[in-house]
Amino acid sequence: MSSAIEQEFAKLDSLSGPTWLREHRKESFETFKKLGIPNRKDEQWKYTNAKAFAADEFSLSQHAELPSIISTSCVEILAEDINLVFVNGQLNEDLSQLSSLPEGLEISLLEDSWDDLDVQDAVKKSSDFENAFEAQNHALMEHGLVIKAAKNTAISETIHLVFVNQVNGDSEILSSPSIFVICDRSAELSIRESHVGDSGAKYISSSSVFVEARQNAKVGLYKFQNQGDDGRHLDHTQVIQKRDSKFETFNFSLGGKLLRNDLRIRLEESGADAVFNGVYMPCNGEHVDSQSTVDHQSPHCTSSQLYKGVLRDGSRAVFNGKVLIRRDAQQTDAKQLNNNLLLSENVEIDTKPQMEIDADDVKCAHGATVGQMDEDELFYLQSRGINLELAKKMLSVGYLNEAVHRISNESVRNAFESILKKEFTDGLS
Amino acid sequence: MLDINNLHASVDGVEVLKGLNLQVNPGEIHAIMGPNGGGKSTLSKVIAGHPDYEVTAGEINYEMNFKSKNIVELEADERARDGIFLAFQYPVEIPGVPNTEFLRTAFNALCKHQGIEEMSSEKFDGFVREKAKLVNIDESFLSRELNVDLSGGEKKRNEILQMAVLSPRLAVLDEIDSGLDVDSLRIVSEGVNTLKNDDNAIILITHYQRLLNHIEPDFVHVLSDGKIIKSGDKSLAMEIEKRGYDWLLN
Repeated sequence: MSSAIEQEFAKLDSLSGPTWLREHRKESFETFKKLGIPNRKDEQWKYTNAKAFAADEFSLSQHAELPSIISTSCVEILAEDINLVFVNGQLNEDLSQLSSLPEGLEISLLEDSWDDLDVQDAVKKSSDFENAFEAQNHALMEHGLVIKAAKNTAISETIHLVFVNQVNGDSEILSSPSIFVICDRSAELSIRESHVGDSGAKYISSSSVFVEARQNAKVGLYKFQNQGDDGRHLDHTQVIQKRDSKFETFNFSLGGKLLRNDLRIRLEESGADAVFNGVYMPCNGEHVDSQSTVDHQSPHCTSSQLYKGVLRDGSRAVFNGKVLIRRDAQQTDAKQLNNNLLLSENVEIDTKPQMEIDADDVKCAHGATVGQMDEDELFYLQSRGINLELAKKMLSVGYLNEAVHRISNESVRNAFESILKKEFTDGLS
Repeated sequence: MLDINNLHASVDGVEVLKGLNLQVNPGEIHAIMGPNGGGKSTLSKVIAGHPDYEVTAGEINYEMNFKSKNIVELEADERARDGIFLAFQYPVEIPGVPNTEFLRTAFNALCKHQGIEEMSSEKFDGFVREKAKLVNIDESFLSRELNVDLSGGEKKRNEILQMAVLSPRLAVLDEIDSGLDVDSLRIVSEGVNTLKNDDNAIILITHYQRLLNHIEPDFVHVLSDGKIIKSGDKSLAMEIEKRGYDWLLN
């Protein structure tokens, strides 16, 4: 077991903190050790080398010297109404808006919120660890945010969380911020996450987000990942949905040496609706792994998933989506689809759409496709004077746009569309 | 402008065009009729440069700036930038690609090729809106995805809109009348007639004389078994309408 994590845990354990938190970290650390780093026999890690997320030498961000200058690429993307910037997992208060927030919206530092009963509850609810990395995040839990929308308030502004990974010199950074989102009854909240990192920097970004959408609440969570060429990103997202709540998420995996997304949605009460879509476009040997589980525990819930990928130049992608429909979840309507377009011969996609259905009165559809570019579509564009290379780019953007167009938040949708277009028209074969 | 000489072409190893000859001059409209399977659509695809169709013998000479060249080896996009346009019998639906963006990309590819400054997206929007009026296309149509969920008639009008934007020298219209109701046929035909001038030429591929009442051809050819077996003026089309093709085949 990684001694680095042990040292970091010991450092944290010696710091002051409420007893419950210290106990929780300790229990999580024990679980981390017990579970161990997953290996290829583990179905969820069959196609992704978990060891890549378990480097031996870490300099934990909260104990490393923070860079004094933030790279401009991050500042440029502070495009939303309310922006909050994390550098190596820790909030930079100068670049973040924590006050003058709209009525009903509360954003506070996690390190100041340990006494909040909602936070204690959320920490507990998010402790059903599926793998050692989730336990590791809890064992090292220190920095993060708590975002709350009060009952009956619709927050129209989009909250933008920017996670910058920047490394001084040769050190390796592990950043593990924790975000807790509590959207109270009939409240509405929209959050955008941008995970970015410097090229050449060696780091592991392991962020976790927990969302509780209470009765009739509406939550949007839009993730964008563009890590550096040596950046590794582990994304844990857990969602609990109560009666008649709506949750929409989108995962835009643009770049990074290794990206792994774990999404778990639990539809605990009837009438809940979950929409989770995403796009990935690895190239130049990049690896993207998208894992998701939606757990239909109650009747009359709906879920819909569309993940689309375009793979180029020696890249690899994994899709493993699980839809569980429990015995009580009658009248469920679940859709799941994964489409892949392979643009070069030396790419690999491992896709596994799964459904486990224990109820008898449900409507379910799922599937996966893997294909190449449509010759008729290419010819149509070429017959209008567009060269083959540009035609391929246009079709790739169009292919992925089908998913991007489904984003209901207009400013996020526009931002993602233009990032996508730029990605394909600015270079790449 | 176009001089097709002893053209032989195959698809999937099957010879479809078997020694076809055709001359088209600027300012002319040529109608190509003929029984099913005679090679009409193949001819249109071969002129446009579809990669699945292989020219096994003969030449397609295309004259531009007083110079004639055999275009058989050129890619479809190169031919298009030289002014050859194909209106598809079945326009392809391309999800995720907005109509205007597609039109602007195609138009700018042409500008770049001709050494003309590319048009800004704002200016282009105005330009394309004007052209859209020609084929009675609603503005909302322009921001939609290319041909997705359009009716047959709307797709054909969209083809003519593309022709209007790209103003080709040689337009091959492959069954532009198929699946059109009376009103759409009139709109599409009026659009084509407006775009016609003394410097460009049109090849109309059709089954029906009806289209030729709207777009009057200078020449009518009958294509059967990969060859042009009869050429004449528009009275030939009238005769075919009355008598069918049998009298020509025997």
